[in-house]
Amino acid sequence: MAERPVECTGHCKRPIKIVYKEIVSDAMHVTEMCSECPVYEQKLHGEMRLPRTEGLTEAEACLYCSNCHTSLESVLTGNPLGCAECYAVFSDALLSTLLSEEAIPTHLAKSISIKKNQTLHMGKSPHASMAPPASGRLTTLNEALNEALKKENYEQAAWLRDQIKALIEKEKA
Amino acid sequence: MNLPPSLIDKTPWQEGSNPIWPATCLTLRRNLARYSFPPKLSSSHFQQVLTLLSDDLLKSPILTQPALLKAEGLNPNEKEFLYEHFLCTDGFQNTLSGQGFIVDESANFLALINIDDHLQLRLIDSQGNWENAYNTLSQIETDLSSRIEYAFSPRFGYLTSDPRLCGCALTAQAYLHLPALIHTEQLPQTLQKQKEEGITASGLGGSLDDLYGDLLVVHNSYTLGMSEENILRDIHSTAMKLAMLEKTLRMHLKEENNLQMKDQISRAYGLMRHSHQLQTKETLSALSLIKLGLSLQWIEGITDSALNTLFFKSRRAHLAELLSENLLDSQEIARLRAEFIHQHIQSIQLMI
Repeated sequence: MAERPVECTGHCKRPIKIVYKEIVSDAMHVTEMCSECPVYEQKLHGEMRLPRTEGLTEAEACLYCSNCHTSLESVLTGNPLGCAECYAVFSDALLSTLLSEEAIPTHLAKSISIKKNQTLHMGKSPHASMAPPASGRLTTLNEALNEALKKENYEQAAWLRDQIKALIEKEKA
Repeated sequence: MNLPPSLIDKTPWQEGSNPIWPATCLTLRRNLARYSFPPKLSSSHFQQVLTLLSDDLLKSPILTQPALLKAEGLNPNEKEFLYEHFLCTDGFQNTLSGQGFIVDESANFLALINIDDHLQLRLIDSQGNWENAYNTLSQIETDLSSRIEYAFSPRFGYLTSDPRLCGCALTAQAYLHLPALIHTEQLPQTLQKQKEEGITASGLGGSLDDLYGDLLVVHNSYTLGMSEENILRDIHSTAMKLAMLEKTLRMHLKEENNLQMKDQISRAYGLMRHSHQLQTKETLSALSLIKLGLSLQWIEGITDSALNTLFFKSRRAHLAELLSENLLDSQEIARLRAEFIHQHIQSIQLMI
């Protein structure tokens, strides 16, 4: 079995790919990193998602997940979360990051600004029996057909009508 | 060779029924509640999670003859083969012991274990039955949940190592072949018109500048705050509109006997027929134009399914597996690719 190589000295926990040596004055600093390490990006290209410490209290800036030892600073630098517990520990910071990165639909972002404890998850829950997704296909096709007829695009309308017929026949079968 | 023969013989789109919308790929991500996520998982836990998940998946009645491929048992070419076959966005070259893949005989299913998240279930549908594909994934996931507790919070949903993928943790990607929209330079304005919140379009290379083989990938931008049903409905609606526009444009190109397009298709034909060396990108572009020519009846003697197969088999790792060669020299790969293409397009005829 292949041995797992020594891991990145950053927070990444990925195998080391790069040994970066830096001479400052007379001292040589060696950093061992994975290829995707944000520290590597910073060293090489001067690019790094700076920890968004503005707005964070001193206590928040020092936040650590007690379960996997991931720090909030590491998460805000773009590193992955380490465990389920991280979501509870960094909840508020995660939410503001998701909002600033526009990783949440606008309607939900708006309601979060009004109601802080808004439920974010809209999908199925564990153990909840999942009904097969109702086919929205027919609705979509009908909408597209109406749109094509409105625009007097009869070529598209004819194609859509064929699609609707085929779908109905398939569902009957 | 560690890859199952079915994976090498079959390509995911070969049974495709829609030349414009050849496939949809669905990915579900899950983590186990009792373990740290892979970026923070210890070596011993890597093995435990791999055993736990693979044992269950290998017994799944939904999968046909599933096989576990341990990362440490695969050579770099085989890892690249999986990446090409399942059109993944990230490569698997860095995968090590404790990480693995499960594939089945359909050659459309891939489970990634301990790569970013504990489990990623990926299924490609080429029959236009993406509701069924989702139901299959959901069934596998539900079966596992009777024995395994997933990392879940009522607020953030299913928890993933990348917080931007939590929530329902479902990604749907519709692959659209849009050569008419792309070569008539109408794609940017079409995308602008069809722009919908929550939908992102990119090429196979990850951005709109990398539209290799004239393929556009339409996928959901949000997983948190979206239900599975909404994601599937939105992707279907956008993909269908784009496919319809492509179809209409193809009809116009044929009606007006478009000279520019005829010229491009003829050049692609010449390139595939007479090149001594072919690079991947130019092969995919030429195959795309030949596919367009076929649908406009300007090309005959080959099927769309055969061209879809060539689309996969002309890529580097596929070629290496097929020819049982370790292809490292880029000149040699390009030469073998050209030879391979010549052999498989001998029957095609230009009808322009």
